Amino acid sequence: MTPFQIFAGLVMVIGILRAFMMYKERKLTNGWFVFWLIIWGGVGVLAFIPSISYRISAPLGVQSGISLVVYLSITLLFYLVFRIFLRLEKLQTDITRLVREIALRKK
Amino acid sequence: MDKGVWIVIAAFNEGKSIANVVKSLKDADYSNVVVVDDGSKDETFDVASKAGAHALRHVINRGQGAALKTGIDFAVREGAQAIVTFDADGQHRVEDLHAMIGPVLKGEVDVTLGSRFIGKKSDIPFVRKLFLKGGVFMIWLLYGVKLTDAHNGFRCLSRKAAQSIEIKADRMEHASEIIDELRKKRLSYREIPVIILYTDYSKTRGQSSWNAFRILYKMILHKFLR
Repeated sequence: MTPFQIFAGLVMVIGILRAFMMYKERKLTNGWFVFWLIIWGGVGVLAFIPSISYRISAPLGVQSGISLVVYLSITLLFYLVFRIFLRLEKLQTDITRLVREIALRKK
Repeated sequence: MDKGVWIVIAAFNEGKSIANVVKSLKDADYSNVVVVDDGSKDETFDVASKAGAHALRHVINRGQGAALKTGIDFAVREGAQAIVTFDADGQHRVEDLHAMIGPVLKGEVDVTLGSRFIGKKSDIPFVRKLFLKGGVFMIWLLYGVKLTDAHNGFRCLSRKAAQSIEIKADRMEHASEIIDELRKKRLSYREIPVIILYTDYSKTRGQSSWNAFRILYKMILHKFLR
């Protein structure tokens, strides 16, 4: 086992354990729980069976397996950041509504 | 003065000037003055209350747009027929109020907007003028509304306008947002000449001209994302 595989394996185990714990505490919905299982599981699978990435990338027309992994990861990261951005904007609006409601109730 | 007229002031750390502003309005017989203390760290709230205003308090700072909206909601709840947004730092003149409110109370237009670029002459610093005119151009480009002065905080809204205009922008972008709402809700408006006083105090209080870039960015974002 290479040092990278040990590292990736640890990341996978910790990620999946955390997802399980949050799911048990009902802090994750079914959909997000499955999503994180796939992401963290994928990290482990790619580390231990790297040839899999090439088998997927070739039919898609991407030269090397690792390129496909990098492309997909960046796309996913952008998407998650975008979601967080939208959620933040909504939180800002909600906070303002709360602050306004408090100001008006006191009067 | 008509009891249906309400003056709304958003104030953030304006403890030094707010008493004078409220007092000058009261002296001119505008009895309904709402000061929304937007999470100030100084004594703005107490000073405004003592001066005789209806003081509301945002427990944390949410920005001028948010504070004005709170004040407008309050005035509407209290039965206002015309609502004026007025600056806390003494930039707006009580003498201009009559001309601003008249057309709205008479039902000639839904909204009046103060303009420092028509008629009376304000002593506007050059850089500020450049940015203001840039703002006017951007309002025309993005919303198709032609004004002479787009970011003048002096406005008068009829009850109907106040109820239909939605201010979602918490911070300074609300000025452009209101213009956009005028167009979307098909409200009639007129620009009224007003004089803006650029005192040393108001210059230190007002926003930096560079903030214009942040506002522009937000305007574009809202235009295309909402």
